[in-house]
Amino acid sequence: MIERKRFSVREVFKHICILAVLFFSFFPLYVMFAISFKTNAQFAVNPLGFGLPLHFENWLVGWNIVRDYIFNTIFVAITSVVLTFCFTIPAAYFFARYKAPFSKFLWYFFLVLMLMPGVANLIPLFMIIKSMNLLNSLMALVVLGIAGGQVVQIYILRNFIEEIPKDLFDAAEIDGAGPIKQILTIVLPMSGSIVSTLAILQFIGVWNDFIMPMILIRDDKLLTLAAGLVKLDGEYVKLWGQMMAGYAISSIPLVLIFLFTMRLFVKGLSSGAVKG
Amino acid sequence: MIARIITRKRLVAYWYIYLLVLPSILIVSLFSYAPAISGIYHAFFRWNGDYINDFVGLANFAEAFQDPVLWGGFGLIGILVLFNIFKMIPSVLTAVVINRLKSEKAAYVYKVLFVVPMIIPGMVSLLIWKFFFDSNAGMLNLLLHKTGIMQLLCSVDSFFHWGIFVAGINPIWLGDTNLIIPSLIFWGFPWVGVVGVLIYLAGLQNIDQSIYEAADLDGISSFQKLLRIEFPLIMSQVRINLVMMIIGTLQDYALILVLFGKEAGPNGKAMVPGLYMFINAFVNQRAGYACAIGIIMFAFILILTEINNRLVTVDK
Amino acid sequence: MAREKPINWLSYLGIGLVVASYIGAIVNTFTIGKEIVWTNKKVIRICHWQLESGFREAVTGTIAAYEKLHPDVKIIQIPITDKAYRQFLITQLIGGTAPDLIEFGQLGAYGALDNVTARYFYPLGQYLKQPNEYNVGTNLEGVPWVHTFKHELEYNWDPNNLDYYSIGITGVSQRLAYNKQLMKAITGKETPPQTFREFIAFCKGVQHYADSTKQKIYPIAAARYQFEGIASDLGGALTRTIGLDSIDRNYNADGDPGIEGFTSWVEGKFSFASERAKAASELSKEIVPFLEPGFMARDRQDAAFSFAQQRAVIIPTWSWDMNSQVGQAKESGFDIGIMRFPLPDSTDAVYGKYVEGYAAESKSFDMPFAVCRFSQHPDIAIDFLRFYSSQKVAETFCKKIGWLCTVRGTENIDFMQGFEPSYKGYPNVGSSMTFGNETDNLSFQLRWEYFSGKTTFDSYVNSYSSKFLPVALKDCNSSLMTLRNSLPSAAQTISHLSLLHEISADTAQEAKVLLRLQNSVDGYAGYWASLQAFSYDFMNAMTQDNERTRAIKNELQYKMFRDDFVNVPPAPQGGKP
Repeated sequence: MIERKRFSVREVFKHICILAVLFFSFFPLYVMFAISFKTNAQFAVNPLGFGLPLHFENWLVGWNIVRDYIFNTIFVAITSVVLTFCFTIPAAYFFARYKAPFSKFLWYFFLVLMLMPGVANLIPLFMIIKSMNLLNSLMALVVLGIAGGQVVQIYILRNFIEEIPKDLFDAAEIDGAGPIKQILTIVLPMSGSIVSTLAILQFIGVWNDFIMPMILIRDDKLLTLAAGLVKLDGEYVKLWGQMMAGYAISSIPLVLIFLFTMRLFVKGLSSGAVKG
Repeated sequence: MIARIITRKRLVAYWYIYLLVLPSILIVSLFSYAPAISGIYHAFFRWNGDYINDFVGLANFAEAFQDPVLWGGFGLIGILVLFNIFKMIPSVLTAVVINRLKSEKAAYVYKVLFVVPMIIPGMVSLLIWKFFFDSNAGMLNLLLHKTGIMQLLCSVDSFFHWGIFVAGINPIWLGDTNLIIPSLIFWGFPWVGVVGVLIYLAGLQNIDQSIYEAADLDGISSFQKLLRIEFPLIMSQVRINLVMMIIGTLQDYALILVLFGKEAGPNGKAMVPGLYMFINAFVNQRAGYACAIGIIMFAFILILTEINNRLVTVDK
Repeated sequence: MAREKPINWLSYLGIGLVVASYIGAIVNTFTIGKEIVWTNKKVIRICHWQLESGFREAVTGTIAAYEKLHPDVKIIQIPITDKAYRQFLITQLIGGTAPDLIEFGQLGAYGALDNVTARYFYPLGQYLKQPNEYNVGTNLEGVPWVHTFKHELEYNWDPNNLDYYSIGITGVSQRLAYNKQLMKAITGKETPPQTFREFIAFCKGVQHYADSTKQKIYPIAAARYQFEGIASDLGGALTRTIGLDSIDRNYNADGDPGIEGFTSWVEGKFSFASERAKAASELSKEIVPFLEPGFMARDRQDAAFSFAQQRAVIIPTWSWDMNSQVGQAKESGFDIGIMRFPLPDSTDAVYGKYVEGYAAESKSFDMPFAVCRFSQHPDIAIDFLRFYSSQKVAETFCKKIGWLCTVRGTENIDFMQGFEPSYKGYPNVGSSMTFGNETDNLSFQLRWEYFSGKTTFDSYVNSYSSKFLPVALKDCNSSLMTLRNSLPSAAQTISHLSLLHEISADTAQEAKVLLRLQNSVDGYAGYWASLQAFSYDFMNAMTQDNERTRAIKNELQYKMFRDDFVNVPPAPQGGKP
């Protein structure tokens, strides 16, 4: 009897601990939502609670502010994620399947970049984008997204493809399937979780990137989200309600994507990605 | 899968396989190698990013090695890394506690709940935290006042004569030179990162509940369980996260730029090397010097990675 | 390795959402592209850092009016936070993508401004001589553009490049705004204090009132930003003679002592410890106890917030802040009165003998716009400036933003009544010896120790005098680094020649132009002389043959060129303007 009781007390204690941590983690979110329905005057009187009347128009204003930012970010993120895979899956397939002259050299050619910090080459990168006439265009961000995703993805995908049974490829080859067909029929169907994990990681990366859009994009309408939000934060007269509504709206797409793909994501993280 | 060996002789028939990797090589050469090489090249120039471009030899490096701002920045990074190590503990503990829960359903619910607040975009949470620290409208001062902690701080202050917390004045967390580093350390409380928790949980999943039961029978305390059963299982993940954290802390400056602006707070108190490089390039128009700083940071990262590799192999 | 589990409906929904949002994004991107990239219209961009409430809407209004007149033009407004403005501009200038019309400022890396000015911006002098066609039908019809401004764009004249590079239509002045209701509640009087001593008594009264009623009310809402304003206003009333006699060497009255002050200091013409300087500092220090505590670390918005929350009776405010102030006051339900900071009168026991009256107010911060050389349609950009500075448009614009309008024949909005700037007299040159990061830091650190009461004036001056030289030399050297390439360029030569032309053509203006020319050339040469004399780096370089000595050769050529100028008959009565 005593044993069991101690047991459940301990169990309750664990729950309390987790709930406490959860409380603090959710607090910023709560604050964001609570303030997003308030005017500044309401906020001054009652900063913490939900004050009536709820000002839903804050969300409308917030949406008008961040709409272009969100669409631009989605455009950049998805375009660059899809194109990155067009590059990395064949390359990873090459490294996993063939042992050809120079393949080792090429492998290290990529691996070395893992050590290269992104910060050191910021200015020359700006110059290259300038000479390609891509300043102030979303394509610049897409291209940088593609380039930035190469190394990690090739590394992880190679490990993954190497674990696919060789017989499958050999059988396909006997049927006369070339590399591209093998990638389409064998690699792609099997790599759903790892590909989506990598896709989400890159998506989050683009979603949060702030430095590159800040220096490459001139026009307000072409800014991506993170840079746009920082701009919003620079207002002299801060209408907290509208700002928080804008923040909340910019969180929604990521939350949705995450919820829909969480199963794949958790699985991918626990299998392949960690080893990298 | 065993790789197919293509010898030089068979290359004639198989040349096209290089096309698979060619696009990647091109794009990496153009956007990773070319800037890096150009960065190294320009580190030896007095370059304003535009029309001034004079060779100065090692002058930029000589200046960098004597630059108190730069080394102050590395010092700040050291402090932040030290505290970030402590800030990794909550993630580990949270993962362990969730894993130890008897009820699998509850564990799943918690996992989902933990995911939700942490996938809001990094910039959004950064800006919300900035708002928390705001001296007038911010939540932190409000909570400190409401809970009476502020009074406590004020009396402690008057005892030690810090002159930071004075009754009736809102402390300016991001503006007071004495409070900047504490604010950066407090940043992100309760310091639980979703990716960290999920990775640790994945490692912990291999533990069978029966091991816990056996441990209970042996009368092993919870803390010993943590040391003997759980920690060894997630050791490799912890180490990877540690390295990523250190490199991340060294490289990141978006946080400081957003919080403190290009001056990095009053007296440049929050200046980190990355930001110093950035403002030298795009504010002070000293792109050559900025490239030199970038190379010094690169050297730091290389050394850290090398140390880590040594440690890992020794352990194995 | 097994195949993946078949995906469930949730994943289908997710994929559907992703596809739908991607389609939305593409549509949106195309709409934006059509609007600003693939358009038949001539696109002009205008960037500024004025995020004060109502400003962007006013610009939008002006743009709409212009676009109505010129349907083939599209103007895009790019507002940037002031903190990020310099980074934005430099990035865009390096990238060659800078907007057509740029709010001119924040560009100078302490001396690099001249370089940047001629390199990146169009000189506007030739257009300013022509009448502004948008003034047709007003009393400014046929008046040369430059003369349609109350201050004749005096600050926009660039003495180093000898031309106008920017045009601004708004003036600025600094006043104290007070909360009428709160003042009445505390003093029982409607009128604000009239003299300095009354003002001090009033502040003490507020503190007493706050203590006795246990309310958190301070006499003056302030941050460092507001305090510097007070200090320059009060100090300027006492130290103008110093500026006139020993700091403003090039007589350009730009209110920025900088390197001129350093030169005077080295020559011993200026001392931190003079009685007058001491009186000015002590006068500002008398105000410090009445400011909100902790003001030195705050943002200027924090002070505005306290004032709006009625936690302070008075706030020092610039004309450009007034609009927000009035709006916030309306929200909190109080009225704002305007006064000028009362000066000690000549009978004052301590300061009386130093007081020189109010300094002439600055003509400087007039939000000037310049035309960038990267512009595809500079003619349209200049035409837009004409439109923007025409009498009616400027008046509407300034009323909308609640700023002072400096176009002749315009009226100001009601709450600007007390702000009308007085340009009479000699401006406050100031005595803050800052011309780079190092001197900035030193000044901030020592001044703050002094004003917060940690040090006395004497020890403040002593540590300033002992630490100043090495720090100043460091800043000199770094200016020199950036200045090296800022020697006269083709554009500058052109501007010199056009000025010569002007002298010969317009005899009525001759004296004025000549004086201006001498001032700027002297200033320029003096600037270089001081750099040469105090930069060891530079002296050493003289003996070698490298780019730096080539730069000096250029400089010498420039001086020869200058001698040609000076041989033009001297001004009838040279002197200070």
